[in-house]
Amino acid sequence: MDYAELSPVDLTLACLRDGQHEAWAEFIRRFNPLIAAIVIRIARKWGETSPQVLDDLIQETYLKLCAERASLLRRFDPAYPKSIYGYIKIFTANVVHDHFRSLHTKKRGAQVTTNLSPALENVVESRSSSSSARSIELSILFDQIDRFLRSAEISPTAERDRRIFWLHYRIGLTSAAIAATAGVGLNTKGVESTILRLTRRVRSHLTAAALVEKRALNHRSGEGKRAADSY
Amino acid sequence: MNRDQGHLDIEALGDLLAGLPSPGPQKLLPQAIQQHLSECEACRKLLEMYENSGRDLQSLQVVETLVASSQCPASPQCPDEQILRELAAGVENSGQTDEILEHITSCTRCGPLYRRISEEMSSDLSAEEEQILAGLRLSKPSAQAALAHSLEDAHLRASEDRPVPRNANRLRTSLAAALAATLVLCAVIVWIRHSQQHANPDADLAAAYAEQRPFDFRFAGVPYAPLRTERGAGSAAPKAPSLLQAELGIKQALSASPDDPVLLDAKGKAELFEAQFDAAIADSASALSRRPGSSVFLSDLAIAYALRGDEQNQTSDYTKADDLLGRALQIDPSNRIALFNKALVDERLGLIEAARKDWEQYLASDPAGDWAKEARDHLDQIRR
Repeated sequence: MDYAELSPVDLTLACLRDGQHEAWAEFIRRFNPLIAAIVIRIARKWGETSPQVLDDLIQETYLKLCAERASLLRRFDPAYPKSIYGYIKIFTANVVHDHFRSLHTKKRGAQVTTNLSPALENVVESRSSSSSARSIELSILFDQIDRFLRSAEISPTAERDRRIFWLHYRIGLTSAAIAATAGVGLNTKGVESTILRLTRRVRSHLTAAALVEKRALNHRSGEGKRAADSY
Repeated sequence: MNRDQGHLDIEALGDLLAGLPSPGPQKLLPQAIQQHLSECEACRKLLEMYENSGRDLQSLQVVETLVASSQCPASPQCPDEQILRELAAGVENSGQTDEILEHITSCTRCGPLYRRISEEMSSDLSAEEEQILAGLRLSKPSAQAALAHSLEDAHLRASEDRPVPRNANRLRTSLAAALAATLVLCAVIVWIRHSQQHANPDADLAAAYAEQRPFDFRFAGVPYAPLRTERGAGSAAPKAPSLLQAELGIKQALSASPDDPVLLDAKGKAELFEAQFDAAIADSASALSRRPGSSVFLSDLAIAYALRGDEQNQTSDYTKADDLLGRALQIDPSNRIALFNKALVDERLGLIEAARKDWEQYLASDPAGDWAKEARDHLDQIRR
């Protein structure tokens, strides 16, 4: 069988079910960049950059894929062939996080565990002096924009588009990351155009609101001036 | 421009600045508009407001990070990190994708956490990551080939229900040592296969099956062959030379290793060809007792029961076979031979709906080829 001609799903199923080394060789050739990228990224967030450790973790991922194939086959739904990439990503991320969590737990003592990686903990520790006044101001702005988005958009995709908008502006996700998120159902271009469209609407709304506010201020100050003059 | 009054309007500003970074460099605006802006204070103010709105939007992400900095534990509504990982990888498992996305966009803990996870799960490699990847041992074809052989080996061992020792296959040596290990590993695999072929009579049994296929059930490792006789009528067929050879090989090997479960299982299979179902059940059960977690042995024992059920018209044997096949599939859901056999047993038990599901499931995992055609024939018959 020419494994190079198989689709990613068929190739993965061939590896997990039959386990021929020719199938695995093709699988490694195709999926190694994806698996390695995730290993490299997560390991670096845990402070590990040694090529030897990275190689070991990549190899461990493949061996666990093979060892846990029954569970993977059970979970994978061939009706959604693209999800094979998702499963492999999740599997790899879990292998790497489990490895480092286990190491850290051993170092800290078995009773101390955490669900957050050091990357997030650092954020938590280093930015603890926030300006509450600014936070309140921006919280009001968020509510104002969210209300506008909820009322201004009435299309069937309005809710999804509003979430895309916030995933970009609140969470800081790129269009590609949003497109990769389950349930979004758009490609990167579609996400970009949604963000662009809503951004223009929101900016127009904010500008109009600022204009109204400015005019009201001018009006009030004019009235005040006239009142003062009358005395 | 609002042509009536000669001023810019908000919509026109949106059109003008859509392609520019916010705040946009005004020199990139059309000359007529630049000219108007230089003369009209009202429009300059409007432009300033529009640009401020862009800054405000960008600042919303900052507040997310700032609020995240206050120690915020997970609330009961916060999804598990694993669910966020599945979401970022594009896998919908929770059935609550919309609710979780809504939560992420408003939760000061889950928002930043999701951003981090999303970055981790990206399929795109940065230039720096590409460079690191290129320097890894497993980027080299020779190391990949060695790993592929290790995986095949692990697969074979796991199929026999031996646990794969954690990190057993790690190659912690330098490139030179890795290459040496590759050669040794390949030699070992070749040796194991070679010795297995000569000590294991399964190849002869497979040949016998191909020559005369006396029953509709399948063993692991047998090629497809058309069914030659009716159910359970194995004794009517002349003994194939390969079967004789298999029996001889099994006998010789068992005299040296009487407790070898693989040989006991092979003996049980050989007995099925001669319709010695009680003996086959005894030998296959003996093999299974020595390796109780083997999905392959469970399936083989089930065949013996089912064929005795055919011969003696005993529903209890079919029930026993069905139970054994269910256990085999529980241990290894990817064992499609057990699934094939289970569909046949379900048919015999009159469990038409179960048989239909089994055949459909089988065809989902093996959609093409002779076995698939046979499965499809069964399925068509059920549907009719």
